[in-house]
Amino acid sequence: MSHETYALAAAKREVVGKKSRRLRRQGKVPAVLYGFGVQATNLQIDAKEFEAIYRDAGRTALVDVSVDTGRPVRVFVQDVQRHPISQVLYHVDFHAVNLRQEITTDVPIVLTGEAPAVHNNEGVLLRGLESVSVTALPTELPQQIDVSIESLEALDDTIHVSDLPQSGDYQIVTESTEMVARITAQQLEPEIEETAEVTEDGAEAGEEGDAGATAEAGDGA
Amino acid sequence: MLMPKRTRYRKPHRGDVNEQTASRGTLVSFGEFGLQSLDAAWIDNRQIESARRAITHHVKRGGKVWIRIFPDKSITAKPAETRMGKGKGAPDRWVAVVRPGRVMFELAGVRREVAEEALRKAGHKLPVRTKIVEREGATNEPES
Repeated sequence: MSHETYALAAAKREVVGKKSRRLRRQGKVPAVLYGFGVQATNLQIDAKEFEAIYRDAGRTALVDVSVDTGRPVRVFVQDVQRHPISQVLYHVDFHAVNLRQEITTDVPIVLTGEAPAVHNNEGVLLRGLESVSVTALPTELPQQIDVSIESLEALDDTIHVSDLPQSGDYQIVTESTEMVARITAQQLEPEIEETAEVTEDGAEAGEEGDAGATAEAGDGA
Repeated sequence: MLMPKRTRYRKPHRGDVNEQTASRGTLVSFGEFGLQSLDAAWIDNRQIESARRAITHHVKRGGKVWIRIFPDKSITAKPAETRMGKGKGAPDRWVAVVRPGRVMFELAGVRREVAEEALRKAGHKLPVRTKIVEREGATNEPES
């Protein structure tokens, strides 16, 4: 839970639409800035610089974005779009927030250590929630919530949201009975049984003759 | 094997193959590791089952597998040595339409090396080139 500050330089962007491809070829990423106290502005940022910051900051740390030579704006990374295969950055959303007003957002849960039950091959670690809803001032928002899983010693041992470390700086609003991690018995996925028949809902008249053949044909070929 | 319980029509049109990247199902959403398709293809229920078996066989025990594609399209075929005409053939197999970028299988609860090898073996059962992908923000690396 650190409150590091991250600084990112951005420039105003005139290029919109498909012409943004040219930007990406130059190693820039189109971005947009909106939110409290700012006018929605199209920006361009350096892809490598952003990736480095995003890796550390994630979506729960404030980033100081300075547009051209203006005063820095404190923002959260709201959304990151990527190419589904190459993972090349397409577009980034920055959300400016009111630093004096509490916000509620999702904060990732990070499991630390190794569960003795998993180490001794007694069970498998099943993850439940990956993040919890947290209400806090933007400056006090934890970047992540660390929880040790070394207390999971036997089958069915569970960590609930109520077991997460509390702090005066933030309040966890997710239901306290929700499961974060649990030790479950080791088992394989059950074999998927062959389903016997496929029936047709809207069968046209005259085509019903070999409706049952569908299943056999699907199985056998 | 996977197939719909009931369908509106037994013999749907084949449709054009869309080679554009998938717009949905491109992120690892349930497990920690996923097997992503790099090509567009029809993947039939036997191939899906074969890949699933390859994963569970390699993982042996523990772990959880998610299948993110479902073969909901029936493909017809005419018997061999049949003259043309006499109507459309009988349903032959069920396929899932897969486009590049689609995460087809997901796996959780196993070590990275085991997951990668299991998914690699599953990839060999499929008619597409594949890539092993990880969940974004997967920070749960055991410190050992």
